[in-house]
Amino acid sequence: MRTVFVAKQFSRHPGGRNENDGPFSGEAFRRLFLEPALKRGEKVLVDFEGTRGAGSSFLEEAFGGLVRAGFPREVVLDLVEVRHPTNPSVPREVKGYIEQA
Amino acid sequence: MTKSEFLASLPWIVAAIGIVVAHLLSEARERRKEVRAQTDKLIERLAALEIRGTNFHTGASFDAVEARGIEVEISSIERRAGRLVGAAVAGLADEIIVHRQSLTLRNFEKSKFISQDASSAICQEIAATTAAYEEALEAAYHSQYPPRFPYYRVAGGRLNDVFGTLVALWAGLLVGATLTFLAMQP
Repeated sequence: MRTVFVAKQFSRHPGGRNENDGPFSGEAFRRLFLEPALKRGEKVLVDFEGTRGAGSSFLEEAFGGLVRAGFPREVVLDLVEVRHPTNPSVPREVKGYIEQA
Repeated sequence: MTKSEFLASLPWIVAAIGIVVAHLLSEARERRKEVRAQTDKLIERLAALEIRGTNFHTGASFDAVEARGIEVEISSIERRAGRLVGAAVAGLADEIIVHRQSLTLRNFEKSKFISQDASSAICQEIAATTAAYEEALEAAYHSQYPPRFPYYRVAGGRLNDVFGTLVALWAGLLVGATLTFLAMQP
């Protein structure tokens, strides 16, 4: 399993939906970290420890966007895991976006 | 220990138990006051965040600094709520999620921002989810500190009624014993 430390490897302030919204958007995160791993069939643990908040639009685009990009919902649910030690509602919210996308 | 020695030491035993019980209740009262104050502070922060969120969405243009500030505040409030109500925060997850969504899911992108009217669906949803979050915090507080004696949960709330009954019986016995003792005096 590969672990992506969002704060260290991407941004402490991930935000925005599309790449037009800035360099640390959900779309940029998905393209940079999630899609390559899923194409290889690799499990990914996305660790939000140290981030200073992530908006729902970022989360929806990064994770729900995987299903819209063509990855089967079951595969995404199986391969992507989210951890947020101080905001435990985030993994649940992400799961909802994957299920509803 | 003879029966008479035991009876002679009984007042000391009763006094020692009384001191321990009074100390525990005092500790619990202090903790309850502290949690109440912090819950009130969180509710004030939620109210302030509701105003910030409404101002952000009704603003003339997308304010990137304020957007980041709102995200940080949402995260900080959840972290504080988790420390405050502990395990009960799991029960708040739905309220926390819909609150975050009301502020940051729609119209939160620089590329698609549209200034909202104060009576728009987005602003109304911010108000509604803030109220629900506040109520959930209150409910979590009252689940930890019920509004009746002994004012805190005993054994996860399962023994609250038993504890209250035992303390009432204990107090009744003390009063009864004192009155009996006084009546027997020559």
